[in-house]
Amino acid sequence: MRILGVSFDYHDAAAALVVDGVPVAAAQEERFTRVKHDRRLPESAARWCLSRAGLAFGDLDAVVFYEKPFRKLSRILSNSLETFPHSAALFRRAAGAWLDERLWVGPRLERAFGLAPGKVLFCEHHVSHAASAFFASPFDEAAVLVVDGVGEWATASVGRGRRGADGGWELTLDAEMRYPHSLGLLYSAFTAYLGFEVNEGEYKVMGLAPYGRPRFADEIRAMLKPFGDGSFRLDLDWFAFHRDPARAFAARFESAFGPARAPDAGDPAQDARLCDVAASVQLVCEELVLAMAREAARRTGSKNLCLAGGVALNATANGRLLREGPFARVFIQPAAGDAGGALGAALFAAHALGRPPRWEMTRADLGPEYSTAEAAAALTRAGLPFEELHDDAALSGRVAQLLAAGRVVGWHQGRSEWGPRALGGRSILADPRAAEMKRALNEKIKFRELFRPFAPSVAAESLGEWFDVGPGPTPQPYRFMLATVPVKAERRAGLGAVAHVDGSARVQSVEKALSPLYHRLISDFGALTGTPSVVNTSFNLKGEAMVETPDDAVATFLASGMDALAVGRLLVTKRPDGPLPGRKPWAASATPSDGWGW
Amino acid sequence: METEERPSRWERLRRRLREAGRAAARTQAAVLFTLAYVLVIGPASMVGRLFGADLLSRRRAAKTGWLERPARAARESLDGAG
Repeated sequence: MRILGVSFDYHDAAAALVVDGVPVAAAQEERFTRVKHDRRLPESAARWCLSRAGLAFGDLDAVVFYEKPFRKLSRILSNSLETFPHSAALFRRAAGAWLDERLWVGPRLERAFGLAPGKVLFCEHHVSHAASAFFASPFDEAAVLVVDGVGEWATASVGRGRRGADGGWELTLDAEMRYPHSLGLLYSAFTAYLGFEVNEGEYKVMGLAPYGRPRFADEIRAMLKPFGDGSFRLDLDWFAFHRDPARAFAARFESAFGPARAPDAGDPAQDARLCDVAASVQLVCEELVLAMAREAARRTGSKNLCLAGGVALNATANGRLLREGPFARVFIQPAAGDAGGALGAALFAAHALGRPPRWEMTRADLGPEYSTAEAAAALTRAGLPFEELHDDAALSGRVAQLLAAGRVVGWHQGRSEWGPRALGGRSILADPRAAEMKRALNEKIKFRELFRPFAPSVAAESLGEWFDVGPGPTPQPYRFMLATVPVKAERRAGLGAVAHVDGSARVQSVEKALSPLYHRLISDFGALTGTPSVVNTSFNLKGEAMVETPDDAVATFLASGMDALAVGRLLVTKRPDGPLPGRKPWAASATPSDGWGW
Repeated sequence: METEERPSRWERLRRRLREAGRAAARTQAAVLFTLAYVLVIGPASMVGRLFGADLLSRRRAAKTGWLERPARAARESLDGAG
């Protein structure tokens, strides 16, 4: 059975193709259009998915949209009724978007892909998220927890996955919290307050938090009424997202926490108050995620947890969940945000319409790959001299030497990653040992805020020597860089570029069997330096989508201060003559108009 | 050196007319949506409040924020956009 899952119209449009229960291709539209968080119907991603499998749209058994649009509309209308007369501007904007395109998802898909009537199905938003985690996990049975901003109505859901009576696999969501009472929206309101873009800057809040003390945590806890079972209600007097399309928080926010930060204001890490606010909302977020996880454990009695939804990308909360939560094993979908809904919708339909075998997601490289000829053509077009290394050993040896000499290397290898994390397919790599590297990378390579931390990739067999991961097998979230972990105290000085100010790091554990070339590179670097780890940051500049093609990699290499570029086995070690580029004008970005889920 | 060709007077006029049309459409949509908000959403909201509707669960007394979901067969749950 051939099923295409799609997500679009909100943010992070994506397509995923599942054939007989196995995802064969998945990609975000932004990788093709270069529009960050592109939310348009993912025509390019869908066409690429089908071409990868050698299929035409007529060969598909179903195309599944990742949510129920009419149910979402009912929430928006209810919101307008409840907030009248304060929500006229929000209503005007939402009505325009809905009448223009969002009501017509089925016909738009039929027209774009030439589908026969009846081929388009609709999967609930949180069911899509839940399926993206459970049907990709290694578990026969598990509790399932979804936490995000909002889907149709649900803002958090708990349920379970298990083998059904008929021998197939069952996924059910048993209970949900509903809009506007949302952990994701609470966190996003603080993201906006701190001057960052909603649905983009949440990582920055998380990165800023360790610079502060959570002295406002009680004030934030007072914004919500907890019920003792992980659920809560927001006191809407603190917020404006339900009535104002341009403002997330009410005036009370500024009375309690001081003036909001302007988006173009200076380094927030220099302002202790802003750092304390970030630390406080991060702490409350972690408490709520832990409380919801305990409720999921209580309801299901399971020792396994599958986690998805945008909040599941909060690596610090995930780290605490691994260390303090009630579950022995946790699986988190690497594309836990809305893009992952495309994969989940397709997987859910595959198990609802048929009885495919289970598939375990051990790798995240579901995107396109490029031949040596394509890479050579891109480098030649740019006039970059390159050398071709004869095998992987030669490539990793040369790149390891460059890294050990303090060079920063663009690393474009194999298929691109599914999800927001670069995992060694489209990465910028550097030496993690010296703290100065963090500043250099932020300032000269990525052109981004200086307070933001970088993540390390480490050879899996060395993980326990450098990080406090505890006993037992390595938790899956470390494989996909989804959780922070304390760097061992005696090792922090040796990982100056990746140990954050609180001594934590969002580590990626690289296994030889799953990523042989990347593992070899890290091992070679370890042999040269004694540190089996490299800095791994996504191959893009601030405000841009991650690179996809060799041409994208070349353009980003030339626009930044990187020293070398490896595209497949082709290695560029010389930059064109002339001064290094300065700050690059930011690339086009999707308008952040839909931050609040209407 | 290649120089960009200056659009003809007719082409410039057409562009201006198109921009003016778009601006008019935006204004018209804003007026219509505002009218819908005042004339449809407004009265419906008043009626709802009269009968104590609490669509965003703001006032309802409850012991939990979790709402139990009815069980649905997986296949049937995929039908329809609503």
